[in-house]
Amino acid sequence: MVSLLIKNIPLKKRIYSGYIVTGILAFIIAFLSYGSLSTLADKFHAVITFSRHVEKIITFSTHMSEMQRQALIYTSSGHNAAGERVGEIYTHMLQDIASIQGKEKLDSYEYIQEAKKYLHTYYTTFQEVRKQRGIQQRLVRQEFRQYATNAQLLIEEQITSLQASNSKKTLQYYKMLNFLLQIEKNAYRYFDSLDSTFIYLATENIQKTGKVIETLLKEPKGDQAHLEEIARVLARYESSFLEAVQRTRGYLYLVNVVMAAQAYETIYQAERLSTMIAKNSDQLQEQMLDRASAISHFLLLLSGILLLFISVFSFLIIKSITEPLNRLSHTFRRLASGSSEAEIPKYLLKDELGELTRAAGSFKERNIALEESRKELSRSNEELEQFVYTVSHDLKSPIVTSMGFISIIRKLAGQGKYEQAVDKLDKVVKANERMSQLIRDLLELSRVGRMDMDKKKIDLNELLASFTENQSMRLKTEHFSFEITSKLPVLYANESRILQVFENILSNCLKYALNDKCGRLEIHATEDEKWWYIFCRDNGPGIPTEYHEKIFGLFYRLDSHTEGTGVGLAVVKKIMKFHGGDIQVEPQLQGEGAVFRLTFPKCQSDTSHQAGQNSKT
Amino acid sequence: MRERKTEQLLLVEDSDDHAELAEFYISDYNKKIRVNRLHDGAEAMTYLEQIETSPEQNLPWLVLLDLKLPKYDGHEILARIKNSKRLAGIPVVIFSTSNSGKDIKRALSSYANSYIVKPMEADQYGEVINEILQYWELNQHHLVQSTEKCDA
Repeated sequence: MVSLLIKNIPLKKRIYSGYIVTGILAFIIAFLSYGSLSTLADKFHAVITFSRHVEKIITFSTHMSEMQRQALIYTSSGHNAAGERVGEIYTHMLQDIASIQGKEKLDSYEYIQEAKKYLHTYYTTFQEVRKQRGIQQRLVRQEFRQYATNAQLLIEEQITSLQASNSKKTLQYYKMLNFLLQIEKNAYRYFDSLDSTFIYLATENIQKTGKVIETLLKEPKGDQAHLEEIARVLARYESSFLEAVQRTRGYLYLVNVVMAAQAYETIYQAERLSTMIAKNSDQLQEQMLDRASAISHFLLLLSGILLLFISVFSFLIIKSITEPLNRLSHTFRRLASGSSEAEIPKYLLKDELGELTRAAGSFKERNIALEESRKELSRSNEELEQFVYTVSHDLKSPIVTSMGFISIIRKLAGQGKYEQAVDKLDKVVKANERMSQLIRDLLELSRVGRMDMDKKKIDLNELLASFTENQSMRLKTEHFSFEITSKLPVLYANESRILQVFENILSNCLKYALNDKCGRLEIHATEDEKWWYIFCRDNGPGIPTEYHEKIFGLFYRLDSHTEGTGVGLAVVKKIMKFHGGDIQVEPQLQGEGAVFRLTFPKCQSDTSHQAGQNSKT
Repeated sequence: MRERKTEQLLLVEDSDDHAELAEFYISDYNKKIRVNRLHDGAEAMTYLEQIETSPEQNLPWLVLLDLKLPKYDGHEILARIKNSKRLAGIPVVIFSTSNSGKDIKRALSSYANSYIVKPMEADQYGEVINEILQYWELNQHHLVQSTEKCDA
């Protein structure tokens, strides 16, 4: 199917198409490679984006720990700058998160969202811590100190008012002042070390001061109002201390428990993120590797298939060229050796090989024509040989006769038998006459096919009608009738030669077919697809089957007593052959007369016309 | 000599003129030789058939056979004689105008006893006939006839 399709294309186009197909396939390979590589590049791009993303996330973690560090510094030292720094880092991180989220959606998005949430609570908690610390500082540094100073001033005022008037009382006040100092010392110790025993010590001293006030109140002559003032301040002092302690404890809880948990949570989220990133990056790498190897396999397979296709295609093209070429070269070799039987490959195509085949065809035609003419030549050579043999034999015969009789005449004359000798002279004359007749007939025979052989359309009916008229005298004297019993064809032939055919047949009949009854020659015609058949039937003794072939030979006579040279039927045969037809004797029963069958080819005008053209070329 | 009177020479010749010449010279050579002349191949065939089938009839002493004959030609008649057991012993002299090698070869390979070309020169015809008759009368003829008698 494919090969048939290929064979319909001219050679030049076939070669071009080979190149074009190869080019197209190469382009396809390049295109597919380009496609595969660009998907690979896309992947690579994704990897780059991912790594940038990873960088961001890592910065996020760094920021997170930096924030924690700053928070820690703040809680431990209470430096305000550290607190500010935490806020700065927070806003920065929020910006980072926004930038990550804005760029693309990744699996890590969820985690980042989570981290952001935790970050937010962490920061809120930190803000709370700052607030709590502010309150605590205020309590410790201002209120608590204020009350301590008030209590001390009140006591010192009392001491100065007493002024050694009541040494015992003064001592009590100094004791109180001492307790106050103890309270303050222990309170500050607690705020510094956060050791609960100092709280106990402080409250113990407060209680001791309270006891001293009680004992003083019991004293008569007392300055009751003043003492009550001191007791009130002391109560305030105590409550302020306890509040500060409470605040400190809450603050510590916030710092140590809540913030630590949140920091841990945040760190956990960051870790989760980084694990996920690691997993993602592993996946991405694997995907890339897979894709790369798949692409390389695909390209290898594709190249293999295309290579196979190209080789099959080129094989088909090459075969379609070389096969007929080989066949042709074989044919040409045979044609060159003069064979006319060399087979011309059946190759009805329009391409260059078709042209070559046609050339081979014309060679073959030439060879066939040569072969034909060679056969024709050998046949005519054979004919000529036969002719020469026959002629030499039959021309010699009268010479033998005349020479023989001349010697008899001499002999008789020598013996004095003159009359007898003169009688024999007749024989010599007859022999010579026969000789000249033979020569005339031979000339006639040689003219057939050589001179005056122009063909034209002749109506056999008309021709034979006029023939009968011309021969009427002869027929009358011989009591012979010539009849045409059917319509005869129109032939393309030489008129005078056809006339000669019928003349010779009639002469033949007049020589051999005469009998006691009135002689008769009847002519009728039949036809088939290719031939006209004209039958000439006489009512003579007929011709025995064994002579049916021989009678057409040159100088062949069935009866040597009848006149004639044996050339007539040979001439008829030659004329019929010249017209592409033949003459034969039809087999008949004994005594039914002889029937000559003349055969003329139909469409003679066409064949003769063609023959004429051929002879011209 | 008594036998010879009854013997005959078979002359197969279509040309009347040639036959007359032959008969003239044969009688010129020996008037006692009886010439049986046959005009064509068919006549010769019929005659041969007849003498072959009737043993009481004498065989011809010599056959002078022309080659170019109507109906059957000389070659066919020669083959007819030489292929017959009874007739094969008859000497056959081909006497023809033809000097073609093909004819001579064919005749000799069909066991013709002699091949003589009819002479075209004046006075030669008689001489050739004399020589043929002399040869066959003096030599082989007696031998053939006597051996045949002995065989019989």
